[in-house]
Amino acid sequence: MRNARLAVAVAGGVALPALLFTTVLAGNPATAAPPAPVRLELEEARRTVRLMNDIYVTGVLVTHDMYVKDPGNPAAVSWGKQVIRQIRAKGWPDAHIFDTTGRPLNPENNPQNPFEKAAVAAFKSGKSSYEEVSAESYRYATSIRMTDESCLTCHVRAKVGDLVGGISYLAPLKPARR
Amino acid sequence: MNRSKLSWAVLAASAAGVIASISVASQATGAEEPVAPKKMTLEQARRTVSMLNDLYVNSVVVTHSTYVKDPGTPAAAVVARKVFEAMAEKGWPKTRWLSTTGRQFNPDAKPKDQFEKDAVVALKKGQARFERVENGQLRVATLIPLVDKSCQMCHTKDKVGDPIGGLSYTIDLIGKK
Repeated sequence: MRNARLAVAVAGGVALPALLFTTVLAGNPATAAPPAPVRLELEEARRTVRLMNDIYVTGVLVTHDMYVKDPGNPAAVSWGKQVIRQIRAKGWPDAHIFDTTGRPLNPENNPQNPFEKAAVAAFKSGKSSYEEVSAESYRYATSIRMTDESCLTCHVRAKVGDLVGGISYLAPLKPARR
Repeated sequence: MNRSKLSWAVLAASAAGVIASISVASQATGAEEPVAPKKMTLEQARRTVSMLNDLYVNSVVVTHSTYVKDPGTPAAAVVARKVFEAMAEKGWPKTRWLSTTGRQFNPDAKPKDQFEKDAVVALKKGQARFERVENGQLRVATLIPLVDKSCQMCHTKDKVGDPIGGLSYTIDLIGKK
């Protein structure tokens, strides 16, 4: 059992203590298949994604204030990415943190699809959010700006107020009623 | 670790939390007034609590494993409490830590009303989720047992698996008084 858990932890890039913790809480074996994505009505998808966004953004800011005193500590954004991975694995709407500057600290932060590229264009034209709705899914993105000088600890080339990135969300929708 | 060190750790965590809360409140909400609570149907409210609980519990686990190396570091629960407060100000579901042991680090985690007192009885028996609809609101309490040895860094009197606490949620419902 321990080996199986470890293998999953390494594959998922998740710390073993976190995995054990999650496993105990969920009451599921670590090897269980992930739950199917939760499908929501459009109105609920919009609200849920905004709620998640408020938590992620606030969580990153609080985490930064409380723990990240110098560039040697893990950046608060890595905290956000770990939480996003675990929430995706539970079937809740997915999120992706992406760069708008063209010189991301991490290459995986480049915009990954046409939606994120369109969001970058919208942010650069002055909008702070962008959304697309199709029959199958609701997509939403919010911009990230440098809120204060503490951000510049790592974002050395940015100024306070600069647009540096965004967070995109993907929520699968329930099939429309006829 | 002795008691006085622990007290200082808790005190330091509280002080850091207050400072963080002030600076985050100004960044995240600016000068805006608190927003009216968002109302949902019962089904939506139940689903929202499930999402929130997954998100909050996983956040605390990640915070602890990433940053909390010794009892002098602010506890992950303090970060979560700051987030709960910011969310309530924005009109999202209210969330509180709830202790079941009667020896909580923060007095605010004591059960505050009849629902929370009843919830503590259920959680102590190992029930994972306790809920009630009252006064136009969905109330839900979820169990968070002491999960592994890393928790005992601060929770020195409890054993792995003990039902020591949880989260208490309150959501306003549409069309209920």
